[in-house]
Amino acid sequence: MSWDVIGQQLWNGLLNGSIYVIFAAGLSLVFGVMRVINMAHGELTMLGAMLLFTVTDLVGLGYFAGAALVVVVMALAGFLVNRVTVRPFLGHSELVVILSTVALSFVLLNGSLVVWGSGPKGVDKPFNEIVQVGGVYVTTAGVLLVGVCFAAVLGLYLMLTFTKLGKKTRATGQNLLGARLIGINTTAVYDTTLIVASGLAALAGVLIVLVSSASPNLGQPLLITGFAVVIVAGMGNVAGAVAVGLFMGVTEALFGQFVSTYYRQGYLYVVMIIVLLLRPQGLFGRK
Amino acid sequence: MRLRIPPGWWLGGLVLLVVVLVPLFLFTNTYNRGLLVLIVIYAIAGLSLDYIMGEMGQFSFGHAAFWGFGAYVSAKLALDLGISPWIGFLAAPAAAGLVGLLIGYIALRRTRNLELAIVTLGFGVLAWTVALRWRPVTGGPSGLRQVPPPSLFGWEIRSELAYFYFALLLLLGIVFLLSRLRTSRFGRGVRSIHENEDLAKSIGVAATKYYVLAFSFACALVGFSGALYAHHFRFVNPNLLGLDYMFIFLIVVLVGGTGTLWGPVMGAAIFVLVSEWLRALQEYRFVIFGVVLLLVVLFMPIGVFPALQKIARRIRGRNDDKESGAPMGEHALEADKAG
Repeated sequence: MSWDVIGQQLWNGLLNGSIYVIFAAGLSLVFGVMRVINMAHGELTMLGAMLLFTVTDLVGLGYFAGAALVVVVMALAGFLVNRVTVRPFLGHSELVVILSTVALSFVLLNGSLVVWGSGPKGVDKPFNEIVQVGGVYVTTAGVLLVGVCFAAVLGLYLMLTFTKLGKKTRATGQNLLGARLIGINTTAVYDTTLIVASGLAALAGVLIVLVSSASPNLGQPLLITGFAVVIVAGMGNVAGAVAVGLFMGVTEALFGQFVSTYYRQGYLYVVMIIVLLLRPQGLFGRK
Repeated sequence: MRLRIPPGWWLGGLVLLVVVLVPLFLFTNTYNRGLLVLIVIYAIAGLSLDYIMGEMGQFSFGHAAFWGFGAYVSAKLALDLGISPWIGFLAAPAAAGLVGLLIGYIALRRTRNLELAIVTLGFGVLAWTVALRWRPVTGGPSGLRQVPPPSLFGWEIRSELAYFYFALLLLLGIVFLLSRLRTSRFGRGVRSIHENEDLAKSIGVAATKYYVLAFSFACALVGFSGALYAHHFRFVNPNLLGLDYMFIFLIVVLVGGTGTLWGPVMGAAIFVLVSEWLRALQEYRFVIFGVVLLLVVLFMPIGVFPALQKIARRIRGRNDDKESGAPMGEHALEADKAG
């Protein structure tokens, strides 16, 4: 085995891992604040990728303008996701919200199959040079992907830590009743949480097309991978999700290279199951 | 001892009469009769999932994996070893039940509710991956074909109508079994854990043991349904273990109503027939299904069957329904008290 191969897989893993990071950050944020598992999160990412394909390929916008438009539109759609599939069920058992978001994902997935067909769609990338860095082939689009992911996660961190909105959000996540008592409009917090999470999901979607193609079927596997990351990190732990997302991306790539390509995805599920059974609260979770 | 027939059975009996007679007059071609078989198979799968959702108050996202597993076990035995499908019908639930016991033991000792849903999702997707990739054993993406039908005294049950009545008989047996199980010591134990696990433990119910056994039972039942599928439609493939069927069973249970015996049966009939009527809409029907599922969860969280029961009760002037849109699982208790 050569170092070049390992280096290449580390880079590939970093690309996947970055996607996992912002995908899982959104999933984890929703869980942390609202105690809700959003089963439609994967389809929101898929929709982001497919809409980007439509606005760039059919409408003719450039990549950056199209991506910005898609992320904003999808973020606003997060408001609807909250009002239609989450808010009406909040007093009920937590399983009911799983079911309503499953229904939403069913609609989005099959609707997208009707609109776009099941085939993969390529999107024109803004720049796509290949640079060789010490034996490892690196695409400039990939560098952009990693950069945007980290900027987004940093932005989320700063927002949660320093802004008033972030503080309200964390307070709501820690104690819903307490937050209401001190006058926080928790409905608005829930709306914003899903708006931010949907925006992050769509951002993952518009970034995925930089390294692969858009397809209506990309949501489901990503959702399960996202779960694996969120579970291993501890549900609701956004910072943990970042570390685990990167770790999972890199080890998955190495597993695919050196153990078995076929069972790559299986590797993530096995890690998730083992962690969940040994430490149900996740690696970084508190009991 | 006076034999009391619970009101649910009257409504169920009426539906049953229709179900037995209608095929003879309305479902006249092979294709339509095949749909009837599908209804029964989905009904059994729905009943087993409802045992987890309605009785245990838990949720398994890996239920379709056990369904597909049962189908593969029985198909494999018949194809590779030439073992009669009748043995397969026993071996499939046994195998699914054993694996369910193992996974239930691993998962239920530690996790409940959301965590359990995700652990089972992990196991389910893992099983699907294995079915897809382990080509020498599972036949890879195309699966296994030419699964033989069961035969009775040298007569192969190939005809849709014969298989339908055969499966219907089994379904009735399963409904009866479940109704007995619900009121048994074991069934009440499971219920008590659902209501309040700590309280149940304090009065000496071995919560984890009961839950593991109940989970394993549900897995065995769905494995049996899978074997019925394999020997009628005569093929198995990895999709049987996948999330599509998981969603179908979920629709069956939710539309019908959780925690009621006839609910999933009715849900299965509604699902198959409505999807058939929507066939003209082709791929749009899945979109419509999603919308219907969302509307059902929104406006009729208790499901069709309990809603009908409520109406029937109202007609009889017994206005004892307090709840509507109660948290999932709890309406099940109400339905039971009424029964």
